[in-house]
Amino acid sequence: MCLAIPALVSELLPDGMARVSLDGVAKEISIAMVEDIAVGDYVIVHVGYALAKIDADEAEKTLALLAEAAALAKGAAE
Amino acid sequence: MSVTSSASLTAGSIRIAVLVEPGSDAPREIRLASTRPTGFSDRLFAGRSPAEVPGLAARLHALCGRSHMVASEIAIVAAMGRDVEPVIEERFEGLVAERLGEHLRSTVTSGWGRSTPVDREMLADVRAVLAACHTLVGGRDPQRGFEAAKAIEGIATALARLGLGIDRKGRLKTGRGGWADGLLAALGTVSGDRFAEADRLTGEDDSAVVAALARDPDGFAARPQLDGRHPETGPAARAGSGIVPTDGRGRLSARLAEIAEAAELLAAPAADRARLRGAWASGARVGPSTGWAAVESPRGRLHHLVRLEESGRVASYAILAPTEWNFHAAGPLARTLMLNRFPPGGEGRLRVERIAGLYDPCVGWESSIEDAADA
Repeated sequence: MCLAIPALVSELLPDGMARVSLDGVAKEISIAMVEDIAVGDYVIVHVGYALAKIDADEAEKTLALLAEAAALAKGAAE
Repeated sequence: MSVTSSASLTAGSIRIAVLVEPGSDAPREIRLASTRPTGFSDRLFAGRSPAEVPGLAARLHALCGRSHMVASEIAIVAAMGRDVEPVIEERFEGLVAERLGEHLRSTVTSGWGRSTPVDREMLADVRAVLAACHTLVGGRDPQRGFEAAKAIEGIATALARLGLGIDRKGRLKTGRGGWADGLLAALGTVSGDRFAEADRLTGEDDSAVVAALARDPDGFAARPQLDGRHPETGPAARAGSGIVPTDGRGRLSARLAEIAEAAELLAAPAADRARLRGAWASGARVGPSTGWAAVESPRGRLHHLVRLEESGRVASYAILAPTEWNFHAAGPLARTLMLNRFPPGGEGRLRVERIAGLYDPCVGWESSIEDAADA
């Protein structure tokens, strides 16, 4: 399943890279495929690449949905 | 706004282990393991109003959100006993744009795609195509009018500069010396990679797939097979008829051709698009308040199956993603890897990456080559 993971851009780096916070973990990703990324933007990340820019409200909703799915999966496993 | 950081469901990954005979570069066994989540859709969607589910399916899936949304809409409308054709008609352009953009992005960012130089102008063209596809895929409401027309024109212009087109007979046409031409050259016969023959997952398999998914939603969604068959799905399987192309160049050509075909389709008269819609998406009712959908998403045939309660809410929900067919432990990738040799010193590892990249999984993956005696 190709899940959509939102991340907050915390720093722009040289060569089309950026540092993001991915569920609280700092990670470097490529932003070469998306135009006009700035610090404070939220992006959807897949395998080290930003796929698209999304607004904070969308990111909030997606993270909440992923957290709900994780909680349900944990409950089912117990 | 502060965004919730929490213990989220993670995308997971696929681990490919090639176990070679001791002292040899010949494979003894291929082990494919996955940590990608499957089966969560039932827990997440059950009890919800059907009106919510297509949007949630789109939100959850990064790469093929439009395909998931359309599959969900079709399955739900079918479960309600209504005609699915208006849904397919309304959403078709978004499916086409998603396939185009996702194939292009995946090709540029794959390991072998990165080894073919992309200069600043080419990168600008790739970005322009991706941005235009994003416009056409849109949110829940399809894009129409001037913005859509401008996006379609921009795609055609940028793809021409990237050297990607099709001729009048629908065959891939690459501009000499262009980016696409360079990619194909890099995957030519010099690589020596061999690919296993595979049969194709088609619409004729839908009834068997849906029946198996209904019987064992979690198990079948994670390890699909049809009476011992392990068919392939995706662009190489969709190319023409008969068996899937058995060399890397043929496989990549199928994907590049789908990019160019999608661009042509976006600009085609409505009557031409209408003629092809059935090959892209379908669905039907299979029992009381139960409906299924199949969508030819970028990476292959995607199935959704939903059953509604009497109250109209979702009783159960299952999703089968195309990667599960291609990366099944006994599936097309595993059989292909068994046909190849994996020399030490990095060459073998590059071969695994090149081959797996051409099967294009929808999650990240890592690979290793291990001595079978140590495994």
